[in-house]
Amino acid sequence: MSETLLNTLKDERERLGLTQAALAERVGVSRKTINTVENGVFVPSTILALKLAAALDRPVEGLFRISS
Amino acid sequence: MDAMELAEQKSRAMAIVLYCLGAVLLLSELTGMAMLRSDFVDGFWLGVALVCALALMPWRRWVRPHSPLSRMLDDESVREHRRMSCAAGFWASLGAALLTAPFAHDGGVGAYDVSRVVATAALVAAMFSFATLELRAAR
Repeated sequence: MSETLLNTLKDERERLGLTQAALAERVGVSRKTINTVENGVFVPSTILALKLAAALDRPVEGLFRISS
Repeated sequence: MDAMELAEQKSRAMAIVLYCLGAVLLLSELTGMAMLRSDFVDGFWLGVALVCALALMPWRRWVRPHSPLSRMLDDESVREHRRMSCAAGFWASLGAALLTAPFAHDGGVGAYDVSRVVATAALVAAMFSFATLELRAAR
């Protein structure tokens, strides 16, 4: 059974009216990282997931969920 | 231009440099194998191979560990891309070694040529995959 990590990063980012670059700047990573996380290409570390949740003012489990 | 834009620009430029270096390394290896075996071509190949190996390392972080630009150019996704491209380089070198081993066994190809083929395969695969991953992520 393969599990994938789904996220609502794009929706939450757009809710706050942030661009990928603005969110990347808040978190301290490159825009590429935000782009790959949003597209599900890159699974972020726990540290980055927590930073993203803090930057978007959402609990981390509200941003990410596992889908099998 | 802010740090974010500068990081994107430098990252894209680095990917193009990696493609070019890979092509030059491949051409110098083919030139050395097929046509021209001279000290200059051998030395040129070695020089380019060393530059290629250096280009794949996170040297920017080593030189300026506290710079925001360096951190952005070596963040989580870049480190992941580097790991993936190193794995691609490993498999390419293994494939090249297995393909050239029978020729080396028969004495047709010398150890020096085999080592060059293996190193070229590893570096070119690693550089091309790293550059491709970086450009794809930047879209």
